[in-house]
Amino acid sequence: MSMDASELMDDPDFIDYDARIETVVDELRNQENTLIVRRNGNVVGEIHEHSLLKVLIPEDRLDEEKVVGILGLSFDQKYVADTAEDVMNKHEVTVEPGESLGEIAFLMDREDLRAIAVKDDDDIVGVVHENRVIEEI
Amino acid sequence: MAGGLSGATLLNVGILLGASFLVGELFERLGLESILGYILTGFLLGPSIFDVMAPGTVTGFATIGATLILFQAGLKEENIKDIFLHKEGLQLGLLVLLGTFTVIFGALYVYGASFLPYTTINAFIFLALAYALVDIAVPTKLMLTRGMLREDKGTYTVKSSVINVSAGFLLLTLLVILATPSITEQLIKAGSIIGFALAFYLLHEAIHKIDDYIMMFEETEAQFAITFALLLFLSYITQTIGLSSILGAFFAGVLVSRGDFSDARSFQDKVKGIAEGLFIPIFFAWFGLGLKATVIWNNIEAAFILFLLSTIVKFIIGYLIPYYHGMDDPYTIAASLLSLDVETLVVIIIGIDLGVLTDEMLQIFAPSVLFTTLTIVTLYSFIDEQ
Repeated sequence: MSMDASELMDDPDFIDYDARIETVVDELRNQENTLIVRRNGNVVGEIHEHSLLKVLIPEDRLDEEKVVGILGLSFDQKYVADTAEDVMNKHEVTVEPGESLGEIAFLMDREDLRAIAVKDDDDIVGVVHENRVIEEI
Repeated sequence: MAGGLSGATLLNVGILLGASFLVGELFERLGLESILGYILTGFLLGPSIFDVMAPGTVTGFATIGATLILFQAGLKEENIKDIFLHKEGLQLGLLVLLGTFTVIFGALYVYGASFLPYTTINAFIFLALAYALVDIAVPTKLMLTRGMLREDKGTYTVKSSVINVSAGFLLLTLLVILATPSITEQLIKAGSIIGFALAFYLLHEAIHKIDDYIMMFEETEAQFAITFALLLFLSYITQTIGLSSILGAFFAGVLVSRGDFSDARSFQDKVKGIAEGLFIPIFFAWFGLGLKATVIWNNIEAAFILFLLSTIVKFIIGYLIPYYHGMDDPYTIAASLLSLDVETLVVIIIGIDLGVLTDEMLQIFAPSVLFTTLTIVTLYSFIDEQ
């Protein structure tokens, strides 16, 4: 019988929205590859390990349209991140605890994700990581 | 060829798109924005130089391109709130906007009729606002090539610029209502806009509820198709009620950004591909196609005066405020706030849409893009030497 998200997930690791980027790196060094960002106790986003790659890209390899857009109404601060909030993704795909392994694999492939948060009502109750999914092959 | 389909359209779009990307790539390698290359391509292929095609052949594509520029900006609107919390950036962005607007409007009010083809206060207000906006793309490119963006002055400059443009577009929305000639028409327009705002609010609240259904659609292109339909529909509605269609496109972007699916990689890739790979380059090339060398030359005095006014005021404010804030290198910050580009173009197009300005203004504006780019590149070269 196929497994579901509740069986595949690990406990979520949380970090505050205003944590410095160095703290984010330290947390990721000791944990799995996803952090759930909280502000005043509420979940506001997620950080995946590969999100931090943007901070390391040399400036001369960046395209200005990616950083400031075509019309000067935005500034993607992931490229100049100082805090967890700067580098996090605000809306990420989530699954319910009963979501099947196959559907999780489908979403990870479609959205190019390394991990998916598991949401029960409004609470993040776990995170399914890519390495755990492929163990089921 | 199937009946009714136009082979000429395919050829024109193919030539325009191919040539635009080649010239755009050349500009990128020279350290300039590809957008300038697209405009130049249109100018070269247009009636003024080689006369390969007329702007009317791609107007439909350009219209969608213009709406997609604002739509993409609306998608990133959530980010703007955080940027407005940057106190020093807020002061600089607003002072550049209001200071430049005031000086240019004052100058146009007194002397504008002597060198511009306009005499109305509405036209002068639109022009003052258009030239008070700051384009950050060109300086961002220059900062990136010099490794300055991650320094304090880089983020300070970009945030100031985003605040300048955001506040400018808020003012623009107000102007669009006030630009209507009679009080009765203003009231009717204001009523239509309130109705639109109410519908916008309801849609805004509903988007979270319909989100899950949209994400579960079996048809993988459904999210994109529904979004695109919403974009076109809101653009049409805003045009009909007397706002410009491209403002509607911005609101569509804001709406869609509230949906969970809008940050999905697959969705963003589709929007980016169709916008930046097809329609937006055609929009800039269309702008170039419509430029006429003789009309530009006949209006070069107006173009130069507007460029000078904008550049001098922005440079003075752009230097003094960072100096007051104790920033390093206020000269570089001031030099980075001088560019005029698509932001100004959008205001001018909306002014033309509303009948406040005429197509001739596009010819007056075009040299400013070149003038300001050359000014910034020269100033940055001077900074490099120092």
